[in-house]
Formats: sequence, structure tokens, C-alpha cells
Amino acid sequence: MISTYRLSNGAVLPSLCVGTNRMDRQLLDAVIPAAINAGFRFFDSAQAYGNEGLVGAALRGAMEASGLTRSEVFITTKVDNSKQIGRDMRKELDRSLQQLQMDYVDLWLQHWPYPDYFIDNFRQMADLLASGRVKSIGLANPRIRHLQELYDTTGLLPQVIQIELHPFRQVPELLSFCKMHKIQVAAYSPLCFMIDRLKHSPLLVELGCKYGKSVGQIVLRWHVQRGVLPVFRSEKATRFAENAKIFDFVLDEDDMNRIATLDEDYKFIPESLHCPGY
Amino acid sequence: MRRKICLFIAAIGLLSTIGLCLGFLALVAVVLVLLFFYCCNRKVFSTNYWNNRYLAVNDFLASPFFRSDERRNFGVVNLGSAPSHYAFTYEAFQGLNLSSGCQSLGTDLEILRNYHSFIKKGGFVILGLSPYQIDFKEDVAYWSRFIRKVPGRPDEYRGYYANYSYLLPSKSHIVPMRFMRYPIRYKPFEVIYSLFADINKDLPVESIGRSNWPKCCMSARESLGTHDAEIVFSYIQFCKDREYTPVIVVLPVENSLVNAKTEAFSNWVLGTYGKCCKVILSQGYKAWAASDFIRPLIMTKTTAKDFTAHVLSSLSVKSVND
Repeated sequence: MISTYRLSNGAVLPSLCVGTNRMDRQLLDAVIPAAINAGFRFFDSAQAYGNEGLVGAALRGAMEASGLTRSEVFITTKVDNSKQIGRDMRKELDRSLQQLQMDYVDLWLQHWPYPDYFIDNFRQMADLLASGRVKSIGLANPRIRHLQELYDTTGLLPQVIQIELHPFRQVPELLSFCKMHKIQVAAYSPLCFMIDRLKHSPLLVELGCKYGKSVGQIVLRWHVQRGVLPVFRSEKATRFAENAKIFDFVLDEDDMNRIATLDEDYKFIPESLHCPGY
Repeated sequence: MRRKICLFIAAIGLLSTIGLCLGFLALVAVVLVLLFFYCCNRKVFSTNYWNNRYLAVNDFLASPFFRSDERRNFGVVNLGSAPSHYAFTYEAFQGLNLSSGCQSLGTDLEILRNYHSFIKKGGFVILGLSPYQIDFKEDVAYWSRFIRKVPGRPDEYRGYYANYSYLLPSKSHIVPMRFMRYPIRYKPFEVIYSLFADINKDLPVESIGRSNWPKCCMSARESLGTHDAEIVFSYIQFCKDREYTPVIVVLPVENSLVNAKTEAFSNWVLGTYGKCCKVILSQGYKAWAASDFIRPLIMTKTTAKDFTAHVLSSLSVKSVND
């Protein structure tokens, strides 16, 4: 059974989320039912992925097949930078809901803290919370300076932030800031794209042997034990059952501390390439 | 009479046949020439001649490649125009040369805005400034023919469009760079020559030679213009906001080019930016001979290695071999 997190606004989200980036119709039609069958209920999409409509269709199909209602599944989407320039968040929400064929999104994020735009747009997003078509709002890829600027200017803070987070990038200062301000942290690329250095990390392999789990399960468990919500992506249907089985063991404190030593502030996704002036 | 008509018809037939044959041969010749030019145009992109002329393009970890190139957290990068590009080489250091050659300070800032995530926290961002300025506007071939104006962007970004059009915020505004796509159309002899006598890969700059330096106006300056001076302040602030360490290096010139103006330039840089960031004045570090430079302001690779080591040593950056 996948645990849940309660956000600062009282909303509840599952503690594991399935990513849909770079997935086409065929893949989504295979991945989303497999994820639902494995117990996952939370899916992450974005305008920039170019597949919101396909995600919505695949999700509706899987919900019908499994008898799930809308209130039992959760969906995130994100506003693209190119759309932020338009400074019309209501229009972008309409656009995303139309694509997803849904009445509301559970979590709505700005994809990047786009310089000169993200503060005004976040204010608009906050205003749209009252419409009920958005349950929670947030910001992807912020640093402390973005959150501080947002707070200083508007008095607002996101309910959730989504950042690149994995054993090679642990950003302890940002996590402390979020903890202090009751911001839920979600991790994209939680397994650092399973690059060889992570997959064959002697420490993680050793811990996998110790707990009888895969490296992926060890890392996902590490995230959840830190109170982080990992957004993982897999194209293999069998992987979902494996990734769901991280709630039957606990990493001890010593092992958590050892994983902390892997931090080297390594960013696999260079932010400034996606968001110039970041 | 009938015989004359037959002869006339035969003559017309013969001429038509010859004409058709000639036309066909001409068509074949045109196709072959076009094919030859097409092949040359494709092949030139893999020559040292091309890659050295637009040398910095391949130095960047551009967006499509970051997934396959896992290098991150560079301890030092440098920006600046052509003199800076040739002054720094990082074979012995974990560094990245982000200077693209001929470009404005505005372009430097734009490149930094796009590539700074490859720099590690606290990493050094060097901006190399030369006491001499090169006014490439004099070189019509460099600017006017190769580079086209992009709507809504200031002139200072023209160099940026040449090499980094993919960095532009709005892709819809990119006017295709005809020269970058079809160099043979604009410089057929150079392109074809490069295919048969390509320049040396290891010593690209030396091989290009002094005489091929773009015909430009090179003049000593005592300071940066107001606009450029402001851009450098923006650059410093940009670095500080993101927890990088900005460094300004006043690049050396051969001693024969040193004069009151160049010394005034060094003093101006130190006085203007010295309180905001570290400034390194490198003219007095050694006696700079003409042989240290391939072309005015452009260091040889050997000199660049020593110079880079000297600058990084003064910043306490360790060599990868240490």
C-alpha cells in the first residue's frame, strides 16, 4: 500500500508518482494500466511533454478498466515556459484540462521559474485555486532564491516543488527551507536516469544486498524516508510492481547517513539550457 | 526539288539530334556540377578548416547532447571574445571554454545565461577583456554576408546568431543562416580548397596564419563603452546571484603593442570592477614577445597553456594531475 503525504493546504497526495515524459500513445497505453495494476494512483504530465492529451486518454481508459473514479487518481501538469510568456494562466489551465479531458488537476506547477514571468504567473495560479479546478499549486525547478523572491514579492509559497533530486544531488539547504515552510518536495529523476555511476555504486549495491532489494528500490525508499515524493519514469511494465514494494522495509539511520555522503551536487538536467537566465 | 526537301529535312533532323545531345550533355554537366558542389558543401562541415573557423560550436554541451555527455560541475569557465577564446585551454584543468570567438559582451552574457548550470557552485567564471578592440563591422564579409538581422533583437547579438542560433529564446524568429548551411555558395574556392588541403587539426590557429585574420580595425582603448561597462556589471551580478565567482582577466598583448592607452585600460578595469570581483592584470606577468602570439591578440596554443595555468594558479585552481 503506497503511503500518502498531506500538503500545507490539507490536500493529500500519494507518496510515489509515475512520470510520463517522452512517452507516446503506445507506451502510455501500456505503462499507465500497468502502473494502476501495481497500485500507483499518481501521474505526472506537462504541457512541454507534448502528450497531455494522450496521458488523459490512457488514464481514462485505465480508470474505466479498473473501476477507479476520478477522485481515486491524481494528476499533475505543468505550464510550459513558452506559455508563461502569454501571462494568462486561466487560459493555460483551460488548455491543459481540455487536453487531459478532466474537470480539475490535483497539482498544477510552473515548469520553470521563468525569469520576469514566474512571479506574476504564480499569483494568477494562486487566484485560480478558488475555482476548484486546481487542488494544489507549485513550482518545478526552483532554488531557494526563487522561493524567497516569490515570497518577498507576493507573500505566497508553493504547496509543492518538484526538483531534480537523487543521491548525487541532495540539496540539503533547499530541503531544510521547504521543511521550514511546509512545502512538499517532489523529486524528478529520482534515480538519476540510472546512469552507470548510480546503478553500480558500491554503496547502493551493498545496501541492495543487505536489504534484499534492487538499487532502484533502495533509492526510492531513501527518498520516501526523507519525506520526498519521487516521480519516477519507467517504460517497463514489470518495474512498477518492483517500485511499489518499498514500504516493507526501512533503511536504518546509519545507512541513510551513508547515502548522504554520495552528494556531489550533480545535475543531470542542466537547468539553464531549459530556462535561460535561470 | 524533292531531293532538296529531303536534304533540308535531314539537316534539320541532324541538327535537332545534335542539339538534343548537346542539351543532354549540358544537363548532365550541370547536374554533375551541382552534385559536386552539394557533396563539397556536405563534406566541408567535417574539415578542420570549417570547425576552426566556427571553432567554438563544438565546445558547447548543447541541449541535445547533455544526455549523452555526463560532464557537469566545471570548476572554471571562460567567456570573452576571440583573444579570450585563444588564451584559455583546459587540457590540464576541469574547465570549459565558453568563449565563442568573435562576439560582443552581450553575447557573452547570453551564453552564460544559457550554460551556467554546467558550472559548479562557487566555480570561477572568467571574463577575458583585451585592451584592444576589434571592430568587425569593418569586415563586411564577416557581418553582412553571413549574418542576418533577427527581428526584435539588438545588433550586439549578431555574433550570437551566427554560432548559437539554437540559443535564441524564440525559435520562430530565427532567420536561417544561409552561409552556415551553404558555405560553398558564398566561398566556393575556400571550401573546395579546404577539402583537398585541410589545415592541421592540432595547431589550427597557427595554420590559419596571420594574413587571414579578418580585415578589421584594431585599436587600443582606455575603457569600455558605457553600454559594455554596464553589461560587465550585469555579468558580475548574474554570477554572484547564482553563487559563482566572477573573475575579470585583462588579457596580455605583445609588448610592442603596449602603450599609455593599454595601461590606462588595465587601470580602468581594476578601478571600475576591482571592488566587485577579482581582477587579474596579466600584462606584467612576463615579457610578452611577438612569438607568443599567432596574430595580434591571439596566443599560440603553447602560450595559452602556460597562461591558463598561471591564471588558474592565481585562483588556486588545481590541475587534474595534482
